[in-house]
Amino acid sequence: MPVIAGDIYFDKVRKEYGRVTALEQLDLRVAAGERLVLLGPSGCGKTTALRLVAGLERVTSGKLYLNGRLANNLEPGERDVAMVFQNYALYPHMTVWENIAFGLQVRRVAKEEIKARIKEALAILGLEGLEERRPRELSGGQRQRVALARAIVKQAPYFLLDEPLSNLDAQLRTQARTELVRLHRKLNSTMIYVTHDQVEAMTIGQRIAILAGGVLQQVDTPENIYNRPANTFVAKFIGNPPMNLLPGIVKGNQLFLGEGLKLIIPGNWSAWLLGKSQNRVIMGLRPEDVTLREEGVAEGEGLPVRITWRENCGKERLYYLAAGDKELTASFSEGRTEPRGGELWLTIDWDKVHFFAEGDGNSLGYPWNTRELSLKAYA
Amino acid sequence: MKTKIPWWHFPLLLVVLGSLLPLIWMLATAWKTPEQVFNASLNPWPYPATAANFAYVMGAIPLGRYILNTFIIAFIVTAAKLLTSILAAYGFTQFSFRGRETLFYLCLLSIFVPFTVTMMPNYLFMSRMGWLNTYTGVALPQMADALGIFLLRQSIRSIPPSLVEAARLDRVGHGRILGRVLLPAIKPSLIALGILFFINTWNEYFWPLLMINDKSMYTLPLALQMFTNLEGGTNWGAMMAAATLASLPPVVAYLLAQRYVVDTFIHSGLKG
Repeated sequence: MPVIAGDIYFDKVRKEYGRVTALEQLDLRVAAGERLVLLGPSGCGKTTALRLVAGLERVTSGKLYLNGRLANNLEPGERDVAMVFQNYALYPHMTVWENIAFGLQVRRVAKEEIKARIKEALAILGLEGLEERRPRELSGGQRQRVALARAIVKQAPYFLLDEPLSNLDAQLRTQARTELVRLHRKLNSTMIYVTHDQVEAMTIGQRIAILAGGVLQQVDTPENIYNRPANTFVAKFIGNPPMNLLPGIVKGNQLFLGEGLKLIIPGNWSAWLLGKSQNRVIMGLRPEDVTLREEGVAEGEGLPVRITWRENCGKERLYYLAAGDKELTASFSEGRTEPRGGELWLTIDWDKVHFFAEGDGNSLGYPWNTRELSLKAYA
Repeated sequence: MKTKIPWWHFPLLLVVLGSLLPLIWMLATAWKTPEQVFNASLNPWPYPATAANFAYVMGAIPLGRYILNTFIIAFIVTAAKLLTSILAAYGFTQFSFRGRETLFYLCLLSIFVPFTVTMMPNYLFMSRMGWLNTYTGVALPQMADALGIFLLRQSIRSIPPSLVEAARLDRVGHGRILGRVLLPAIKPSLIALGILFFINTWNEYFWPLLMINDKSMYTLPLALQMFTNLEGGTNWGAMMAAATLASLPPVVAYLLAQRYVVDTFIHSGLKG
């Protein structure tokens, strides 16, 4: 049941609740048929953005376009959006069939058509045989799928999901992620998916929009969000354990991270940073991008560290490290030899380092062409 | 297996018995002959039992007529109160407009206006409209109730807003949101409130007393009072028989609905 998708355009959209600003000037374009994830911590404005699209909230200022049509003052019913709520919002006194059929009946879809659509949706979601059950007689996973079925029978060009997996257990969630992506491929509608879970975002989104404090931080492919975070917020928010962020001072080709912590910056980076005329920087290092060595390294080639805590997570091992007064984490996949305690050296793969400006925390970019990566990510 | 009963159930039991005693006394006396009633012993058991009191009451006053009067008034008032409460509660929860909360609290304030304050103005109004001795006169001033609005507003607010939002996204109009989404979800509250309204109206004494002096329009509480006066305060068996008959309908209504209330409570909600 593929539908004709529409695009969504937030043009300087702002939303205030009384004195609280939920969204500060959001500029975002969601392409027709795209699967976009709105990601951020609680209270970042992601659900607000979704509810603005649905018409459940009104835009305070700015313009919201649905398929090129100004939608600021459209009633929710006039917007042709299908939505799955976090608590599923199934009508408790109606059966599964009635729940799914209700919206179609209200819109006077022909009886035969309703029957056909529901049958198809039930088949796609594996809900056959549950038609006469009431929501309270269903498991969490089944309720979630009924909510999805109710949304897809609308055959709406916009498909909005508000943390639909947050009430499921971990195993079901993994399975439901795959199902959702498959479902979207079948439907082809424009999908906005709200979550605070970075794994869901990385696996479901074709693009991810990260919000914090009502401000859009970055919109990009999951690959670029991970590999080219636009600022320290994104860098810390994506990745588990989060990226190590070490403030330091650049002097020529040397980076001072603190007492006795000095690194020699390779030529491409030092030229790049010089060009940015920013000597107070924050260096970002993903825990999986560092190496621990037992043998000493030349001065400026690595940082002396001590292991303060170890965690075995099965597929990986986490090391909590102290380097002078700085704390870092390092992670290694299983199978590598366990470093012994005592004084170790942490060395860095400079191709995987990130630099941010101290102050606003924005990325200082990379001394190599990043477009190549973007294109690869889209392909 | 022996179940242990906590000691503090015994004082509770005494209180329960104490409050049941008048009822038991009423029921028992209704089946006693005058000799048994005036027997010095406090034996509540009517032996041998007699139905003569009931026959006497049925013959002495048109009880059927009074039950019908009371039922019509209680039914109209209950239905009207529920309707006005539902609509007002819907407005107070589903529409956002300037002064909504102020209006609601003003509405609540009316709970604290004593009946004696509104009694005379209402009486004068009904009398000018020529509604003395009519069902309208008795029922009209009781057709809205801030308590009902308050309780239903609370019930509606306890329903997840996403239910209504899901309906709005499906272009469901207000009538259907109310009828197909909200009311089924608050059915237990509606039934409980309905019973409360019905019993209160059924037992209402003072307002019908003001409004009605035509005996054919009497409600049961008025009829009981009249009957007591007629009997000169000695025919206890007959008086208790009349009281028993008068209290039957609300008890039956309550018993029927109680089963239903419990039922809906068990089956409501979406707890997983």
